[in-house]
Amino acid sequence: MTETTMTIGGLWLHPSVLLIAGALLLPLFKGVAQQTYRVALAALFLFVVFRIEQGNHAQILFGGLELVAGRADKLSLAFAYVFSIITLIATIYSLHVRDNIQHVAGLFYAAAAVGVVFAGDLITLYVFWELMMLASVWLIWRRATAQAYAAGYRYLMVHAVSGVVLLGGIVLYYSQTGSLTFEQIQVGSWASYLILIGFLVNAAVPPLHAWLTDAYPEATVTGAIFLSALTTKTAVYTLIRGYPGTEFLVWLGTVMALWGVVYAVLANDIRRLLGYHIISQVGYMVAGVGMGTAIALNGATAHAFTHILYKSVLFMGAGAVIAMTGKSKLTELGGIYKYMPITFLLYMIGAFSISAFPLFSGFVSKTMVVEAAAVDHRAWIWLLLSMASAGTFLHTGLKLPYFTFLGQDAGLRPREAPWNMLLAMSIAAFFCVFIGVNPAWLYQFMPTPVEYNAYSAGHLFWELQLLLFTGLGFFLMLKHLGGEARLSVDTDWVYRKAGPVVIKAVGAVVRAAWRGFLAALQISLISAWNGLKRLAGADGILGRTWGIERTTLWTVVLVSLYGLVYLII
Amino acid sequence: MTPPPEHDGNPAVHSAVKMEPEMEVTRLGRFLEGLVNRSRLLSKIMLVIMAALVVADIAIPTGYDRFFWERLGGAGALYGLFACFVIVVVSKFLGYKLLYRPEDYFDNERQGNKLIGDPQAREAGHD
Amino acid sequence: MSLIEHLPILVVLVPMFVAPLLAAVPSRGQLPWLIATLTSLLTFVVAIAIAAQVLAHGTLTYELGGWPPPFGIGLAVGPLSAMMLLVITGASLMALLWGPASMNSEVGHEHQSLLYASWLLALCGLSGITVTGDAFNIFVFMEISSLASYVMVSAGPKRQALTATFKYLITGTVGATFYLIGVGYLYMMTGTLNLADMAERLATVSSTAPVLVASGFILVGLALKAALFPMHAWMPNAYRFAPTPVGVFFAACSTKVALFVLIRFDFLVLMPNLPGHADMLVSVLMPLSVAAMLVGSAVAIFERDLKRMLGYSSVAQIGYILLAFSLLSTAGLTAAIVHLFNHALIKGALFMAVGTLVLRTGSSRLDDMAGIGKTMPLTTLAFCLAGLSLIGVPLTAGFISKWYLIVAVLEHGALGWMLLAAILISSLMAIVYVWKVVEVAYFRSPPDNNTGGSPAQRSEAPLGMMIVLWLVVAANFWFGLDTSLLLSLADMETTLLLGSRR
Repeated sequence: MTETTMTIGGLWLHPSVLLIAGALLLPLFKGVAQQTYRVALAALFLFVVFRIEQGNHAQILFGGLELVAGRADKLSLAFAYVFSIITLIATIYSLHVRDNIQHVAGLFYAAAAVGVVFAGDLITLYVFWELMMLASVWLIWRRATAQAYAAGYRYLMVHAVSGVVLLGGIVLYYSQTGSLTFEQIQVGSWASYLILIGFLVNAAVPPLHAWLTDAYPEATVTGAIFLSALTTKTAVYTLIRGYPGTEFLVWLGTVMALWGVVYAVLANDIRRLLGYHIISQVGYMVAGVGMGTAIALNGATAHAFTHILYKSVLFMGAGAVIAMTGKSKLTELGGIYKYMPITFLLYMIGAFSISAFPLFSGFVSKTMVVEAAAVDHRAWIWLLLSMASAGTFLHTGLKLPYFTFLGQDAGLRPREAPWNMLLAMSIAAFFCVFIGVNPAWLYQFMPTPVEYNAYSAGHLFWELQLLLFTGLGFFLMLKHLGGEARLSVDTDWVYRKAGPVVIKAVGAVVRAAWRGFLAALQISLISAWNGLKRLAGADGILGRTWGIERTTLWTVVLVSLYGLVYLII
Repeated sequence: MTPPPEHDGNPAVHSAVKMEPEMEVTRLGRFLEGLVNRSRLLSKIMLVIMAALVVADIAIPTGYDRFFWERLGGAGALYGLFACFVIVVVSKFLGYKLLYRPEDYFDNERQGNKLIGDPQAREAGHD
Repeated sequence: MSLIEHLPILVVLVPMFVAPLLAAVPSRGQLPWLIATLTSLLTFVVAIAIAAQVLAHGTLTYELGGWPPPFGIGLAVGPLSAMMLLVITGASLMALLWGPASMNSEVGHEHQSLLYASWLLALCGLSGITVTGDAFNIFVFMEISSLASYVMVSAGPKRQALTATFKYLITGTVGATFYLIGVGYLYMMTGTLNLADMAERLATVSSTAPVLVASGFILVGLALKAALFPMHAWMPNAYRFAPTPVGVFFAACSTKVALFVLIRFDFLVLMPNLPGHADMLVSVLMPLSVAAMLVGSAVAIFERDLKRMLGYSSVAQIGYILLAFSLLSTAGLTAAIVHLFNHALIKGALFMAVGTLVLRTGSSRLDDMAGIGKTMPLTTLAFCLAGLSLIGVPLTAGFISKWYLIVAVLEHGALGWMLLAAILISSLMAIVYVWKVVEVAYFRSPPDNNTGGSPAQRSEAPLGMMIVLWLVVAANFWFGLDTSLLLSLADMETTLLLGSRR
């Protein structure tokens, strides 16, 4: 094959630009033509991304700032690959939906995520970062329920605030270092912490994570696929790029992994449960970033890659159940495996992957992060991450499918999911198994060469025993594990419950003071206005039309004044 | 009333309840049903496999000794049970003592909104 | 000598020679207008060519008849002169292009050829002031432009035009005379009229007393010409009662030319040679300009006639320019130059918008504009957009001016903060008087049976007017974004005027 860079007329074709332009044309099509167009567009996007060559493309000089919109190295390409794969999968999954806004928003969102990944400077990164937020919120709002609207609004608020924090950090960083290049950021200055906070919010690191489990369960069935894949993983990318080896991230990630597990025990809504497991899984990646060794960073990247694929299977499975039954709570579901057997089996492939069963994709990536902890002799981290792994299987692999598909028959008689949903799930499930069986395919995309062997006897023994005996524990405690018709408060309590109360109280005081101030101001303003009117109004000394004599007088006065001033000086 | 734009356009959502009780079960579905009906047998087989796994782990050294438990056979099994127990107990404890709330806890947010209209009316049209 | 080298004199000669011919043209139809417009277009093109030359090569000099100064009359076109030329010729062209409908409705055809001839003479005079490097020439051109202006104002449709003209004539003459007296003293001391030569020789004169007197007369005379508060009385009525196109032309450029002379004269001749002159400017000019800013805006708030409102607004804007000038810093000079240009754009656009409204309503009183936003939406919108520029909203030319002014002011510590407060108060008042128009135009319902013409007349103005109006409004936004031309000219001028002193 001849060397083909994706260039048009000497310009590098940015895949995000392609996707955005394509998305804008989408409303021109209808029906089958639109479905064909959407698949073709996503496929073209995939093709373009996979043909990108390494190097710095699209260097732009913008108002004295050197921007790099296309920094393609192994790290950014790895994320771009999986983002483009998931864009195609999510497109197929949503093929039956007739909602132009949602489709355009989804494609914009994917384009923005890829834009972040390819951004070689902080300005480009910020622009795409905000576009990501603006596009993704529509995937929540288009559910068109009151809860979805409110949750989307909260989602927007949280990200808007974090966006401002990020921007502040970037500006400060630029003023301190004079550089906008997005490379590893030295931790210690205010700027570095502000940028880090911006990234951590998007990575859903506790206690800044509540937006995720608040919003994702309210998103549209198809939009949730994009959501589960993109926002947190772009944040993981920026962390790998900007903050490798930041020690406290190790503990933050570990806490995060367990936090998600604990809340998943309490969750009743199946997509909220899965949302908490996103947090848990991203915890592994954050911990890997914190360790910062080559194997840890490879592990974080690999885990992000596999996570996107298996999590999409899980969300698609849960979405199919919601779409076909109209129910989303464990307490209202049960016994539908007979009617949706393919959905059930595909879901289980995703569940085995996230639980890191050997031969499934999670095994080859998650154990890499855990192994990185072992290499560094971090015993506590290792044990706690293993515990989170057990918890993941407990909920995603056992509790959710048991109470959704098996368990007590809730009397639901749904149909099997439509073919396009099943096809999309199958593609993602195929990758889960393919990567699990053939990890070398995944490892070739990693930022540094991988010398790690997942399938060692030690890993196999430990992981299998851990998981199977967790399963034993599950069946022993089965009675206590069902969903409960309650919800559990998370840190979003601060702005959903405490915030309004405080604001109302403060507001009452401020309003009273303001009214008093306004009344006082009004009186003084009115008298000032009247005074001004007396002076400058039509009959006032200033507003009246002056005659020639006055002008002449002033002229004389000024000339004299002029001389007088000179005498004084 | 026109349905809201989302709901994924699938009629099954609304018609599921009205379906005949004996909905058609595919061959794959029946196969799974058969497996579920034999769950006692399957779980016995599973327990045998697990026992064999522990025995094998004790018999075969793994070659790792970064942590002391890596040299102990069956540590994974013990830790798995322990982890499962700890997670459930701790979580449920937190849930009952601290975190659980009734399902309408956040209903203070379900007020009408100019942008989306009256949510009650909208949801009434939705169901 | 190629044509390029004759550019500075061409811009004066062309209108000067066409004017008498135009006066002889039969005053019928649109022919006089056409000739005036073509002439104005020609001078505008020449002005552009001059600006390009100046940008490329720096100051252009020209010796009349080949006699080198100080013996002959020399023309010197610096960056600021080039900019002023652009403003003057541009304002003239735009006002002419915009104006025929308005002119026909206000001035009878039989007077038009004379009026347009005067117009060209005024153009010639104003251009001449900016290109010449000779103090006496400035006076001559000033008189040419003033006399032509008196004629034009007196041609206004209302009888008050005559009293307005009389006031304008008297005060204008006083101003010119003061200037001439000052120049006379300087000539007495130095024996030269060439500005550059005068500056050199002044350094060696024995006594500074006559120079001091001269500077007093010159400054006050020019300030009078520039309508600086409290010598502004002639201006609002002259604007109001002149034929509207003439008002547009004057509002955009006439007072600015006096300011231009003031700036040039001061920095070139007086400042280097007069000890204490800087302190004098700070203690006399600065308070006056602050007063102008505040009083002009305050009166504009209560003014019920739109044209007079714009006149008082100009009093305030001249205050801004002189305030920037009186700071005597590089930043201040830059701000003054920038605002000289931008204010021409802003006032031109506003006056054009008001003139368009007047064409349809037959009145410039605010109360007759009730509900005009519905019947003339495009014109009213243009007024609002130009108003935003006047207030200094970002993305507009006015913002650029305010920005540079505030930057310059803040260089001066505590005094700077007080000046900033004055600027902000004046800007707030600008919001009030622009809003006053908006309120009447949009929120007040139109009268049922108005006296301003039948409903058919109360519709959008002719297309040609709208195009020119919106062109100028668009320029307000263009120069709010692209400041490169203006800033490079201002930069060249400041290094020229201040560079030698550093």
